[in-house]
Formats: sequence, C-alpha cells, structure tokens
Amino acid sequence: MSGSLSKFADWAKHRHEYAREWKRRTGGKVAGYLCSYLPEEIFYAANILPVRVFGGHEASNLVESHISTNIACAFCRDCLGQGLTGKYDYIDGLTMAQTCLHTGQIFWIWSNNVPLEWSRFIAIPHGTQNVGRFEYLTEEMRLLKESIEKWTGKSISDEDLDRAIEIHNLNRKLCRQVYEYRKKENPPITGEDALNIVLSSQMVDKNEHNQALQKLLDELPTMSSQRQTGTRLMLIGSVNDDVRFMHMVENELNLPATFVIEDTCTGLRYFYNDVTPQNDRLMALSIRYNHRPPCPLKDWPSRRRFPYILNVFKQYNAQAVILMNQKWCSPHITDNVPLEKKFREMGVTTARIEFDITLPMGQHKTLLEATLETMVEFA
Amino acid sequence: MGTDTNRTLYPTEPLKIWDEAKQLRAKYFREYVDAGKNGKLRVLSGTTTTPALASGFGNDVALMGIEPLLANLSFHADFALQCFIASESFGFAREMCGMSKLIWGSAILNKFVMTDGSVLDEWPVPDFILCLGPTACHNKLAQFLAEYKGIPSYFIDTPQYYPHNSEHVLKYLTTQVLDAIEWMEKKTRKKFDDELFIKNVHNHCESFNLWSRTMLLNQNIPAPLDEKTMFALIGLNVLRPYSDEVVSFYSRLFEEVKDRVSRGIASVANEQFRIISDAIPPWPYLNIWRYLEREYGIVSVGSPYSMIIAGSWMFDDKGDLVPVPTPKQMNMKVTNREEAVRALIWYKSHFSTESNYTTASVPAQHQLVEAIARQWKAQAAILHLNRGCPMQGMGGVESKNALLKAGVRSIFIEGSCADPRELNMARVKEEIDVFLDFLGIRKPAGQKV
Repeated sequence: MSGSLSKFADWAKHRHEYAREWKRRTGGKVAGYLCSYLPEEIFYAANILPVRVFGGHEASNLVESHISTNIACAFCRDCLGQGLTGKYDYIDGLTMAQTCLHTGQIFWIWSNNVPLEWSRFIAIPHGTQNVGRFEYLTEEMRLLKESIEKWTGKSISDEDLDRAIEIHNLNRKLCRQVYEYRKKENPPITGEDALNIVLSSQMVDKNEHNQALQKLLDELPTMSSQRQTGTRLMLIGSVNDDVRFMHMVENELNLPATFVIEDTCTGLRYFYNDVTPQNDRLMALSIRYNHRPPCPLKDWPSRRRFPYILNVFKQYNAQAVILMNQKWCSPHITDNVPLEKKFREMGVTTARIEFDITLPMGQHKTLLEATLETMVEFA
Repeated sequence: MGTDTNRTLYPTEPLKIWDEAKQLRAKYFREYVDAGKNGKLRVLSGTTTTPALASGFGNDVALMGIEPLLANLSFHADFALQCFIASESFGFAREMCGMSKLIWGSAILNKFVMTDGSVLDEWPVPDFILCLGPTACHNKLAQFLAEYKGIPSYFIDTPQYYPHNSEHVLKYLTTQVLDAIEWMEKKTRKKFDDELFIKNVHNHCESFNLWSRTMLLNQNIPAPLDEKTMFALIGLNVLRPYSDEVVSFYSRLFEEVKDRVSRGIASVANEQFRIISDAIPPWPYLNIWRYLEREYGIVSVGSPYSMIIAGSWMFDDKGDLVPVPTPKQMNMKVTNREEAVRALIWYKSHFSTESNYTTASVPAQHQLVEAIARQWKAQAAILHLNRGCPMQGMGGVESKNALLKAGVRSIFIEGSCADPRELNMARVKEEIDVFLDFLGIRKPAGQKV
C-alpha cells in the first residue's frame, strides 16, 4: 500500500485518536452523526467536526437492555454498543439525519443514556421526489442551523456556509477523480483502499482529507497495480464499514477479484453529487441532499436508484454483483430482490450476503469462491 | 400481593353492536372485491389519512386499507403461511417486515382471502394505490405491489408527526395531498367532489374522535371493553372512517359503552387485574387475551396500538393523554378543498394511526405508554415484541424500560403481527403463567367464567 493510501487506512483505524487530537489542537466541538444524509456543511460552517458513528465489530452486552437483538439492524446495534461503552466519549453532540427506523431508534437511546451537550433529530424527508420537499428540507436546515448557533453561541454566516460548501464540494470532486482510476483495467486502488478513503472522509476534517486526496492524485498516474484484478465486482447494499471483509475478498479467495465500485453510503453514493451554490445556501443544500443517489427508503414512487446503479455498473466495467444487507435491514432486503432480478435478466452473476456485527468469514469465503468459480466455468 | 379470583364480581353482557362490526367489515371486503363488476373504483389505501382522500370520488369508491388487509390475512394463519412461502420463495428474507411479505405473498399467489376465510382465485387489482406511510416502509410495500401488478400509485411522505407536527410539516403534507388529489382526477378522469370531501373530512375526524372518547370510558373499573373486543371494533376506522355509516356505528358504540359504564357492566366479569399491551397483536393468536380473562380474570384495557390506530390523541398540560378536538370543535374554517385537506392533516398529524411509533416520535411514544398504563389504571403490561413490524418492535424494550421506571412491571411475548410461525403458544402461556405467578396472581381453583 502506498504511503498516501495508508494515510486513509490509518485515519479509519484510529478514528477516535484522530478526533481527540483534533479537539485538543483546535479547541473545537465534535458532533457524532448517524447516516450520510446529514448536511455536514452546516456543522463544518460552525467549526464543528462532524464524525460519522461506526460500529467496532464488537458485540456489546449493554445493547440488549435497550433494543432487541432479533429485531434491530446489526450495524445499528454495533454503533449503539460503541456509544454505550464510551468509545465515543469525546463527542460533544449527537445528531441524526432521518433515514431508517433502526438508526432513529438508536439515536434516541443514545441521547437518553449518554451525557451530551447537544443532540438533534433532523427529519430529512423520505419523499425525495415529492412536491414541497425542497421547501420542507430547507426549513429543517434552518431549524438545525438555529439549534447549532444556540449550542455554540456563535452565528453561522453565509460566508461560513460558502466556505464549508466549497470544501465539501472539493472533497467530492477529488473522491470522484480518485474513483476514475478504478475504471482502469488493472485499478491501482482496491475496494479496500476505496472504503478506507470514504470512511476516513466521514471521520476527519475535510480540509485535511482534501490535502491527502490531492497527494494521492499526484501519485496515481504513475501508480500501478501490484495484484491480479480478476473478476470485477460491484458491491451494493447497506452501510459497509467492514474493511476486513473487503480485504478477504480481494486477497484471500482462491480466484482473484477486485471491488471496482459500490453503491453504499460509504462509497460512491456519498460524494456523487455536489451542492450547486445559490443565494439561498440552505435551499442549495436541500436540493443536493434531496437529489443525491438515494437510499432505498427514499427511492419512491419511481426508482431513481436502479437506473443509477445499472449505469455505474457499466461505467466501471463491473462483471458481477455482491448484494449485501446488514442483518435485519429491511430497506436493502426490500430493494435487493428486484435489483437482483434485474441483474440476472442482464445475465450478470450475483451473490447475496448478509452482514452482522462479526462476520462468518469462512462461510462468506466459500460462497464467494463458489460464485467466482461459476463465472470461470461458464465463461 | 395476591388477588381473589374465586368469585364473579361484576355483571356482564355481550356488546350489542359486535355483530354489526363484523358484518360491516365483511361488507367492505366484498365491495372491494366486487368493485370492478359494480363499476366502482377499487382503491388500495395506506392505513392513515388516505382513505378520506379517495372518498372525494363519492360512492364510486370501494376502498381497502393496508392495515385491515394485513389483519385479515394474518388471522387466517393457513393462508398466511402460503403467502409467506410465496414471498420468501420470491427472494425476500425471513427477517424483514412481515406485513409487506404477507401482502406481497397474496399478490404473488394471485389469491385473496375474505373475512370468512374463503379464498378467492384472483387478487383484486386496485385501480390505483394511494399511500401515506407513517414510515417509508409502507410506501416501499406499496411500491413493490405497484410494480409487480402494474398499478398506478401516489405516495405521500410524512417525515414527522406529533409532537413535531409544526407548521412546515403541515404545509409539506398539505402540498402533497393537494397534488395527490389532482393526480387522482387525472388518473380516474373523474371530478373530485370538494363538497363531499369536506363532509367526509368532518366525518373522518368525528369517527376518530368517537373512538378516542370511547377509549376514555375504558378507564372505568370495571372496564366495559376488553382489548380483544376492541380489535374487532377498530377495523372500520381504517376502512371507511369518512362514511356516514361508520360515524353512525361509532356514535352508537360510544352510547352503548357509556351505558355499560353507567350500569357497571364489565367486559370481563371477574376482572381482578388490569394490564395493557402494545403493538399490533399476533392476529392468529388472539386467544391469548381470552386465556388471561378466563384463567386469571385479567383484562387488557387497551394499548398504544388499539387506542391510537382508530383515534387521535395528544398530551395536555398535565401530561395526560386526551383526544384531539376535531376541526369542528376547534371552529376551524373548512370551506374549500385546501382548508379541508389542511384540517384533516392537522387532525391526523397527532398521535393517530400508528404515528406514535414513527422515528421522530420515539421519546413521546415511551411517554405515551406510561400515560396509558397510568390513566387506564393498568397494574402490569404484557407487551408484544412484534418481529413482524420493525416500526413497532424497535422501541419495545425502551417502552418496557419506561413502564418499569413508572413502577409498572411487564414482560414480552415474542411473536409477529403477520407470521404465524413466529409465536409458540405453549411457550407464551408458560411465560405468562410465570410472570403472573411472580406478581402473586394465581389461577383460581376450578373457576371458569
């Protein structure tokens, strides 16, 4: 792994140490958040570091006192466990941009059980195709901005928002530029690398992340792949923070394979579209977050998500699809069925995999090896 | 603590209006199935606000709500099992929303079960689907149906409810609903009758208000209604709450229950202990409630589900749960379509038809469970950990914790509102027996009521 790439891996692995050090260095506040629909720009404009909460892949015996294991999404329970065991004790506030019931429930449980200076639920609309959605979300953003101003005691100016939007748009642009290299026949960046890049983007100061991305982009033209690409895989599904899984698929199967692209909220979906600046900064944010590639829960009545996924599949020359869902994730289970049918109608090989707090790597390895072997046999 | 369950305490008599509830429900199911040959619009509606919207097309509409559809499907367990096999064979995983899989399964099988259990060899395809989901899951449920059967559909988004039903939320909802009405006019090529709609909005709110006021009467000791009976009475408000027929029904129900209270008539003659439940019940296993009544003299006096699905509620200044006043009672100006939509949205944006279980309302839901236990004088709770509905099941443990803080002990029975495979009756009875024994409640020797 190049020095530039290892920076992202290091950030993702040592996320808590980074955030603590950032606080010491800047004197700023940290707001933990659940779900990538959060309008991070508003927090950044207030000099707050937004840090996405991820699980630790550790089961916790504290969670069951608040939410049942056989109903709630594995990832969400893992996140809650991290919160209840104090792994995120450095966050000053917690916020949640509404998507699924599971993240919503753990937000409230966390807010009620862990001391916080501030917390806020942001009711992002689900109807991202419905009339009135832009005005509605703009008002939610205005209320959020007011709440943050009250929390920090400082107002957020238009200039602050402009600065934040510019930095976030730059981050998105640089990520997209990095991702272009995944389209190559032998991509110099693996799926594991890409996951570390996006995970770290959701954990560290965007300005620092931009500098690291720029450094990587300087190196990429001369960087070559040191491994066999093999079957080009697309990963589609629920939130994925399992770097170990990505490593296993790309390094430990008996046939080579590489994740060349993904539709997850720790992948392309996170940075696909920019904020188009306009006079009403909050409306500009509202439009961006309504229009981003949607999570299944926000993808109705028409399916915007499926054409986007099929388009991306072709753009990145993927050959097979891994459809993943976190255990108990209704939204992605609901969408994965018709999506899989679409791919099968196209003659694309698919495999379905379930994630949990800890993964049965042996079973997944067997399934994926069998999937790859069928492709080789029938090629 | 012990209770004396060895003697009959209260006079009791059957609810006179009971049969009418069953007949009306059967009638509405038949009207829905026969809509095509009777020249009516067949409309599949979400559970909440949308029944009233379609009613603007008058007597030309035969409407089915997703909630009564689910309840009927699930109640007929053998058919439900076939539906689950069909939807799981289609590819949907075991642990996802049971309501979705049940309804999808029926559509995949192309079969439809009536209230008497007879199975029709065709799934009646609605002319359109109109869905206002308390959560996005409901709209995803409808999306699959719309795609699978090629049904035009309109979905309305409600990102938050009471206590967050502020002006911009109501404006967003009103905008969508007005758009939905125009969409329906285009799809049906029929004129929406605004005068009729205004009347139906008032009817809808009146039906819900009557149910809420009927529920207040159940704070009485002895309870005039038990929850299993309530399950049979709520269906009409999630089918045709806007109709004169249903308003009349709930009006007469209210009077009958009021009369029962004045005469001290109990639903459970040997009422010795009061509980509440929570969540959509396991429909194939409603005899759990009768087991409690018969064996222990325990009456379930209501729940956040049975009270709220067919009512509309809010907290007063003291933190008590009270019925939301109707737009008429509030002297709201309702003279045109927009005002009628706004009034209906305002009324339904409170705790009404499962909105209490939605994500934004989570803390209020736990406050609500505690309020119900307190105001309805429940001494314990037997909560359904409903694996068939993540919306409800998700907050179950925290509701239990809220009750415990308030001094109300509770247990879970694990099951599903949809999937008959998810509940083990023998185990549930044993768990209930152990819980009640812990509370000091014994089965009376030799007593049968």
